[in-house]
Amino acid sequence: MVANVDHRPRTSYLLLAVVVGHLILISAQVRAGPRNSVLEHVAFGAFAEVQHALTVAWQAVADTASEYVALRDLHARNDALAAEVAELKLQLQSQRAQARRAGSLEALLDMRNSADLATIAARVIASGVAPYTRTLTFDRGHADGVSADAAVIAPDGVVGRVLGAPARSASQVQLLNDRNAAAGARVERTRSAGIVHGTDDESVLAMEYVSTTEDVRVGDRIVTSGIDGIYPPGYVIGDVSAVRRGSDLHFQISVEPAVDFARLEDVLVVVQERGAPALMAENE
Amino acid sequence: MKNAYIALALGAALLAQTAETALLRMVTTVPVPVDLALIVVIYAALSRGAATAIWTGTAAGLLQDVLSGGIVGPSGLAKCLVGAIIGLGGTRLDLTALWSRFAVYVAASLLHAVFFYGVYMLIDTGAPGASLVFLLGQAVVNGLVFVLGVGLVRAAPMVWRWQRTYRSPLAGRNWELE
Repeated sequence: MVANVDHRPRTSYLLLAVVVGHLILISAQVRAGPRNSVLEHVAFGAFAEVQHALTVAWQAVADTASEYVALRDLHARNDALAAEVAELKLQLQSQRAQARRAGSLEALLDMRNSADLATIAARVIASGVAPYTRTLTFDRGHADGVSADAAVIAPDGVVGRVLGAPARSASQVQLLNDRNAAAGARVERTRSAGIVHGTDDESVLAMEYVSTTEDVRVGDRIVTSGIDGIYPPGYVIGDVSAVRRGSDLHFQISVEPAVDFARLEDVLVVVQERGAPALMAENE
Repeated sequence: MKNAYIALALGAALLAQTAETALLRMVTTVPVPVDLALIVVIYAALSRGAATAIWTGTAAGLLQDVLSGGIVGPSGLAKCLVGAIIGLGGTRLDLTALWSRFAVYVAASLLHAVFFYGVYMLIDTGAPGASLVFLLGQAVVNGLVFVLGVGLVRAAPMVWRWQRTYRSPLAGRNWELE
């Protein structure tokens, strides 16, 4: 198996030099704080372009294959789609009636549209590089108006935030279930505030700093509070799956995320706020 | 010549990294706990020795660190150390059997986790989260991916020969010389 094994002392010197180099590199960052180096920015930008090209190529192959397969059962699908269209038309009428009712209620309450955010659609082009961190790379960067710490949301709920300065046409997003990610949150039913963060288990989030005097139950919906200045308030984070009384004065709350992070495909990135109140913390 | 091997190993590590992030996700939505860059580093250590593994591990690990958005260095250091240890220790072991190399991959993956988390414990910052089950699973998957890769490489020439023999337009006919 081993072809050319290097027994020379040079290997030991090399190892020593490399280890010392690493230690100096790590020490410098621990003092100065990580992130925002030119190296990171350039490396991420270059790598994202490769990932983007691969995604496009793969998608083209997959689309060609699926189109060929789709042609084979076109008739059956056509009939099924015709039936589905008829059903959807009925649903549309029902939805329109509901929308009219909702619109009139909104006008009555003189409510502003809480989703008054400028967003752009983005698509996942790659998963996280290190298996220990939970990040995704999306095909939108600073050329599209994406900035650092921009919130990323999906129809099901909050996804995460843009990590560091984005590249020209790609950005890295730290998912909310990453252990180092956190968001200001509150219980929708009682308005009790706390902080939600990721855990070792990617399918469970933890909510902290909710006093044991508050009323929190399993099944309660957890939404963003906006207090962190990143996530707009009122967006769904998940549902309470367990509530335990901790050793101190706060509950230990487990939250099941609303978003299935493993199956994310398309998301919305908040590129700017149209109305200042939208990103401000909700009043108690 | 040695530099060519190092360049080849670095290219393989970069390719592995790209495949892991961009392509694996399209094949399956289930998160696969695999570290393809580490597999390349261990392979470089077993086949080309410690020096090549040190360079490959350093480059692949630093790339992972840079792209993961955290502190740059822990993964580079862990992969470089693992590469050096496997590169030097592998010469003292009989690794002709496939299962023995599988065992080396599992052990090296666990060793990598020990170094990686050890660095984070030393610098006392928030280490990336991973459970023991995840780390064990990753070690086994890394070993299985290697075994699968070796199996595919070994099977490819046989499949090629079979294709040429039995699927050729001239095969299966009774040829009689007149």
